[in-house]
Amino acid sequence: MKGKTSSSRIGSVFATGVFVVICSLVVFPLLAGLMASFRPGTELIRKGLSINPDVTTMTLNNYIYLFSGNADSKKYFMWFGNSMVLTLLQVLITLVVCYLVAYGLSMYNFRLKNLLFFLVIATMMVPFEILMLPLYQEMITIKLIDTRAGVLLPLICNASTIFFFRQYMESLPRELLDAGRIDGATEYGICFKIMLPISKPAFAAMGILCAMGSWNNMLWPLLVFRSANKFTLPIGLNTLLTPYGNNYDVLIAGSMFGIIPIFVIFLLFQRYLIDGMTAGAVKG
Amino acid sequence: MKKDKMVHRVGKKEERTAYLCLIPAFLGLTLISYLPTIAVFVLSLFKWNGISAPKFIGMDNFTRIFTKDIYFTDSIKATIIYALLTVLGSILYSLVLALFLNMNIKGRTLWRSIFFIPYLLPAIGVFTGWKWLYEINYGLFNFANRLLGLPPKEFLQSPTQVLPSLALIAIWCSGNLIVIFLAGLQGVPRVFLEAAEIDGANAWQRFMNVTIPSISPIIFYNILTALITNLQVITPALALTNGGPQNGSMFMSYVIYMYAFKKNKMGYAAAYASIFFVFVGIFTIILFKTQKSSLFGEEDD
Repeated sequence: MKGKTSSSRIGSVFATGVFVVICSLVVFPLLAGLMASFRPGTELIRKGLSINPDVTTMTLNNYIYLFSGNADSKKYFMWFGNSMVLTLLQVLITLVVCYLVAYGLSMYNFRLKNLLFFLVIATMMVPFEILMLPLYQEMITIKLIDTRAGVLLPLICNASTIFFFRQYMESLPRELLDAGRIDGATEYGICFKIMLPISKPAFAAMGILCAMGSWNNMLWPLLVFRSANKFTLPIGLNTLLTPYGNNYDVLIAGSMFGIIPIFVIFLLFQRYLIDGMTAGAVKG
Repeated sequence: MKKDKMVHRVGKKEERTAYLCLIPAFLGLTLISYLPTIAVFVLSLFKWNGISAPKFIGMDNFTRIFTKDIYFTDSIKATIIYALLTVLGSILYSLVLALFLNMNIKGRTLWRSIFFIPYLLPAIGVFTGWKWLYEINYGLFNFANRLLGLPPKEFLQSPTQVLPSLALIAIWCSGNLIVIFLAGLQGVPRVFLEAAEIDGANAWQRFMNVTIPSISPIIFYNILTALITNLQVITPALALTNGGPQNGSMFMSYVIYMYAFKKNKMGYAAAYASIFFVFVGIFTIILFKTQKSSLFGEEDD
């Protein structure tokens, strides 16, 4: 008995040790990045991320610069604002469109139901990297290059979001539909006033996932946007690295500051997010 | 009889409403997914610079890619090696961390949030930071190497080390897998674990014989989704390496991007994309085969 306790104690000490090592490996680059945001850009160019956390050279200057209202700062907050608007629009439109599809696919019975569901799911098989080429030409043809609509249009009809909504709604009681009909609600009333409110958890989960994807999306906005005043945060930050010199002060402080909105959302809605991420993996 | 008629009427109405719900999305999908997919295959038979009229050249693009393309073998190799390294690494990393978080560790939510942060960071910030960590002369990793008396490594500057180095960044960013594993682990029935413990199984035996079998569908799901995501890798090349050094990180999707948007060889890029489509398709079909039961089958629960 005594042997067992001591061996399990050794085991738990060992496990804690491994955990601490992995944690420090994970946290270290984060910490290094955070520290770098408090260092002058000139020093970053010379030394990169130095191991020596020389407190005397640490300053708030990068952040002060970021908020100073000068040209760079104005640019940064323009990107920030653009990202906010684009993310908000993408989340709202995606949720409405995908909810409607999933609602149609799960609540009603009709002849082409399974075929249409398969057609939705099939689009998951095509990587975006393949579609970007014809999509780009398409956007030129319908004159949506360099517009928000051009960025949003290919992104709002997301197969995995539809899939998740459908799985969620399959679990809702159909009796609600009949109850609504008997009470004289129209089909649209049922859709928006009865089913939508009880699908709130699904909306929250998908909203967060969609917001994160949109906030960090780089490739498609990079192709669509031409004018610098429409750039989003990821593209904007990317323009700071040029062959003629890198603006590291804004880049690092800006990257760090840039995760705040999405991280706050993550902290607030963590539970829903986890439901959303596990939807495909864990059968519930 | 009256009831029959009513059911029929409701059915008709249902069908109409259902189609109305589906119309906007299917218009969208046709425009953004079905037509472009067809377009890629059609375009692959043409020579086109994006401006002048496309010229039909049959299978020429494909023969050129298979016989003469300077990136073809390099890109397939880079894509597969990167995907394998990243998938193996991130599955191991996230499974181990999820196991730790599943024990009653203090501040579990806090740790879960911390591990999730890298997944949220903008790609360009992540890559710039890691570029500094990998720096040859004063980067942190080489600082550690020198402390241990090892020769400095080139990391991103070396054609052989660039893929493992990029894979490490991707593994660091795989906090989403931890969240999925953790949810799966919390679903492992306590009774089984307790029963095994009463039967005298030690921690390792319990892990191998109870935990792993219980979460094996999740492990498999994670492996395949991670594989497909990582086969489609492009951001590290866009943000950090530009496919170099010496084509060491010349990923297939980056080659498509380069031909289409840097060299204006649209037809050629489309042919490349078609090949890539088949390439990814093979892996995706495996995923959907194994996921079929949870896709269409509500029968079993």
